[in-house]
Amino acid sequence: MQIENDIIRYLEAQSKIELSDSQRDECKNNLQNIVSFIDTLSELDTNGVQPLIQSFPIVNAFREDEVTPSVDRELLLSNAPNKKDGYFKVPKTVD
Amino acid sequence: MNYELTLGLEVHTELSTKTKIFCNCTTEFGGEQNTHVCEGCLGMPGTLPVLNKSVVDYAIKTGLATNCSITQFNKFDRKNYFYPDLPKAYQISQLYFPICQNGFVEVNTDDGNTKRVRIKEIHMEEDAGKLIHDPWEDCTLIDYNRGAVPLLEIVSEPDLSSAQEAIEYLEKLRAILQYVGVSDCKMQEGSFRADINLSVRPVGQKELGVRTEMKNMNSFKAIARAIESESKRQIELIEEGKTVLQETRRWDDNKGKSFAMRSKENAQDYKYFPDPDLPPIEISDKQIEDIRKSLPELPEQKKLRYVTQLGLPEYDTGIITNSVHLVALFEKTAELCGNPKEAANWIMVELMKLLNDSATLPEDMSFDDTSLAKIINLLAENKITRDTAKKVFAKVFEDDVDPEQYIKDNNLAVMTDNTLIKSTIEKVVADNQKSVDEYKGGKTQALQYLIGQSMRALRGQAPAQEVTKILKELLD
Ligand SMILES: [Zn+2]
Repeated sequence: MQIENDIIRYLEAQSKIELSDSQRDECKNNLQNIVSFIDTLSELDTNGVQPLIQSFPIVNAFREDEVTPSVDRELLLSNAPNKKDGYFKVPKTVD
Repeated sequence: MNYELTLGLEVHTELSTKTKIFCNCTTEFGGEQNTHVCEGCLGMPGTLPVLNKSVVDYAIKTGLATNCSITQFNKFDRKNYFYPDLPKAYQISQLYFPICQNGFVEVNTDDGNTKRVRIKEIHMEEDAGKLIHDPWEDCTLIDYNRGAVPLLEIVSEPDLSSAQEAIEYLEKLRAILQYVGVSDCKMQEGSFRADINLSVRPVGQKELGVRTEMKNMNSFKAIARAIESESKRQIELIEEGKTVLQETRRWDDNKGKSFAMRSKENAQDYKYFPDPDLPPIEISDKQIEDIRKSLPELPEQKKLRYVTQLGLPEYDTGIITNSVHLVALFEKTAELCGNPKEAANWIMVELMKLLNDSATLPEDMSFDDTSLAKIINLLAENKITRDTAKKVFAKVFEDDVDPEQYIKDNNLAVMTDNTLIKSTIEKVVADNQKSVDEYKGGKTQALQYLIGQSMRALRGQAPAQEVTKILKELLD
């Protein structure tokens, strides 16, 4: 698979970021390397092989349904770049 | 040309577990903004989700109650999108192995038959935070209290063909969820909401039309209006030779119109992949069977029992069994008064009228559940008249008064003092000589007038039969 500028621009839009031309080139090269590697893996015949969807042999890690106190709001908000009246504040996203 | 509608619904229901899906924060509704939040449900780096065991149990319950098969190997997947209501920039959901599949719910159709609405799947996921527009600073404020509250998304097949059927389906589904106790389904609090997938096609056409999706539905009335309006819009486009675009639209109930969401919001490329932070869930046969055995009587079973064992009319049982709150009142009242038919009748006539007149939902009824039975018993013992009974019930409904106390305080009991009844009627007869003469002259209507006057003088508190009897004795 060939990584073109269109794909990078699409991913920028999806990720809500904007790259400079040089960053875009660099990103394109990196992504091309990764995708080529995957392409190599795709040459392997995996018919009849179950897909791997977990890396550790554990199942059923559960938590009991018991309330513990939440975290102090001031502390949680302390890293937020913008806040107001106990809310996180972001640029307008709803009408 | 005639068109037919094809409708599918995606219902999101918030589970009534005590804690959120992956952390121990409370799920309690309300609360000051961002006070039911921790580093886990805010998705801060370094935190890991651990699944709430009850969420799995609740999902299995729901699946069994809707005739689904339970997926015994489950996994969570990440649905990636950037929107500030989701602090991690992905929602933990289930794409590849939804916990329940291939079920159905039976609904009543417009023509009085029943129809199976197939359920494609039910999956577990986390709710998003709440965005609030701040008009003063023209920015958006976020409250994450609702974020990561456990949700089930119940996806139907496109088996519905009218707004009426869609509402029937939603009412039935809500009743089932409430019966098994997995959700309170309060639409006004957002714990039961639906997205609508809708397309139209000319009758006879094989392929389905292009479908649109409408979000933001939070009342049955809004859903019905949105379906009517959107099908009309699509038909008009087709009639004008234009094409219906596959898009997501936002329903604005105030304006009675839907609006296409911006194309950026329409670009759905969620890049799902298995969530590496959460190990798979294996559900044993025993767990499924144990939960199956613990299921309560469901609406359809209850309905059947009410009709066959209690002899109630089918229509009445349909209405009552569709609301867990009406069922609770009915069963308590029937048990205490020993007369299920009378209990059902009071609910269908008087209670429905009171609910409608005051625009109250059954879940917001707040009177003591023994009061209606008390009234029915007093009536059966002839201690109050039917008219009084209705008045007392209205007062119970409004102010949760104790019927016996209220009757006593307001002197509403049937008069048992026959001498007093008789002397009152004698006075009525003496005061209405003209009517008495007419009656004696053969005008039978005059008797009705005299009965009416007597009842009024007795403030409706004497049994009508008794009044008629005494009057006749005096006149004949
Ligand atoms: Zn939390």
